[in-house]
Amino acid sequence: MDLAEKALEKNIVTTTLDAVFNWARRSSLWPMTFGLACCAIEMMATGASRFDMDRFGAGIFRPSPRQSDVIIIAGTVTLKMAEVIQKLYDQMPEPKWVISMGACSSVGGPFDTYSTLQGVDKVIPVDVYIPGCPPRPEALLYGLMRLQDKIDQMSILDYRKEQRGAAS
Amino acid sequence: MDEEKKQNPDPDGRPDASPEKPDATESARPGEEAGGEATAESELEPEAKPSKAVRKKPPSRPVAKPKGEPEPEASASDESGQDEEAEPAKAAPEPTAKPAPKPAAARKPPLRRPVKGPTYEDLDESDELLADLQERFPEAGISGQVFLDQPIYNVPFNALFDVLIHLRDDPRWNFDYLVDLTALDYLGDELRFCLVYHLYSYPDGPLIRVKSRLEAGEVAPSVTPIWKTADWLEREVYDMFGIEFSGHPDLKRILLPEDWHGYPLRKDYDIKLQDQSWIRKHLRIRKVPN
Repeated sequence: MDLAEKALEKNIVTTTLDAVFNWARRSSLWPMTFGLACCAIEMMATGASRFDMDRFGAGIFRPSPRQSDVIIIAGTVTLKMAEVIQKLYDQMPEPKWVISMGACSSVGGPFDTYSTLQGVDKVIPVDVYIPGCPPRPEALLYGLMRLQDKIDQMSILDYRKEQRGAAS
Repeated sequence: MDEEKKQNPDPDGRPDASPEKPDATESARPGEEAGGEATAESELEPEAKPSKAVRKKPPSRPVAKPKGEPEPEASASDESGQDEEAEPAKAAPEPTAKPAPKPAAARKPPLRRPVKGPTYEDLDESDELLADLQERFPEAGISGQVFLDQPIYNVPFNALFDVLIHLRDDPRWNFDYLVDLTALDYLGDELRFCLVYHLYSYPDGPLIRVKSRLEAGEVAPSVTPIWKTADWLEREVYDMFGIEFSGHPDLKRILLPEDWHGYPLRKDYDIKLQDQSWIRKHLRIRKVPN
C-alpha cells in the first residue's frame, strides 16, 4: 500500500491551495443589499424562492459592504449615486467583485443625460456585465456563474502580485 | 405637454421637423446645380427652413397649413409631380444622393394630413371663478383659458400671492391642496419663466391651474405659508429652473447635488451637459481597460 492510498484511507485529499481558496470563495459569494432601480426588482426575484440564488451560494444578501464579497450594481447610476458607490466599494474587503447588471449600469442605458453616469465601470472596476433591460433572473444567475468561473481562474500568487503592483 | 402645445400651436411641429431633415441637407448642399433644379429647390425651401429653426418660429407653419388642409388629394398629387421633376435632374450630378430624397418624399404625405388637436379657448364671464377674481383684483388683469375642459387662470406676477391666498381662504373656492407646482422656460421671451400652480379643493372637487409669467432673475414669492407642501415643490423648481423663492424656509437643491452648477430644465441647458467640475471633485473617473 503506497502513500497515496494510505492518505485516502484517512480521508486526506491533496490539492492546490488555489483550488481550495477558489472553491471556498466562489461557493459563498455574499452580495451586498444594494439596488438602484428596476433591475433591483429582478435581483430580488433572483434571490427569492422561485429562482433561488442560494443554490449558487450567493443568496445571503449582507446589509453592510464590510461583510460583502460582491456588489451587484442593479440599476441606473446617477452621478450623485456614483459618489456613494465609490464609498461602498472602498468599504468592501478584498477580494471583491462587481457585477454590472443591466444596460443602465453597464453603459448608461437610455439615460444619456446630464444626471446619469455612462457606465459604472467609470468609477469602479467591473468583473461581469449582464445585458438586458432589465435582465431576467436567469441572466443574473448566468452572470453569477460566469463570475464563479472567473474566480476559479484566480491564483493567490496573481493576487499578491496585483497588490504589490498597486502599492508600488 | 399642454404647455408646449400652447407655445407651439402646431401640434405636430416637432414630428415634422425631423423627417424633413433630408430635404434640409439636400437644399443646403447643391449650390452650383442646374436651373431646372432651382425651382424644385425653391419649392422645398419653405419646408426646410422651419426644421432648421427648430421650434422657436412656428408662426410660419400654422399659417401655411390650413391652405393644404381642404384638398389633401391636390397636395398629394402636387408632391408626386414635384418628385418627378426633382429626380431626373438630381440623378445626373449626384447619383449617390438619389436614394435619400425618395424615402423623404414617401414619408411626406402623412405629415400633411391635418391634425386637429385640442385647442385653448378663452374663458368668458360665465366662469364664476374668473369673474370673482376679476372683481376682487380689477387692476391685475387676470385672464382665463380653457383647455380640454381644464380651466387655466393667467395671473400677473405681482398679484400672484394675493390671488393664491384668496383662492385658498375664500369659502367659495377653498383650494386647500396644492397638487403641483412647476415651471416652464420660454427661452427668448421677455417674461422668460412661467410658474404653474395646480390647485385642488378637497371639499368641492375642482382642479384648476394658475399660471404666472416672470422675468429671468425675478424672485417669486414662496407659497409655503399658504400650502406647506410647496416646500419641496419650490425646491424642485429652484433645482431645475433656478427660480428663487423669497420666504422659503430652506431653499436648496433637492434632486441634484447641492454644489452642482447649472439648472437642467432650462432650455439653454444641454441635456447631456454634466457639471465636469463637480465630477472632478467628487468622482474618481478611471480609464476603462479594453
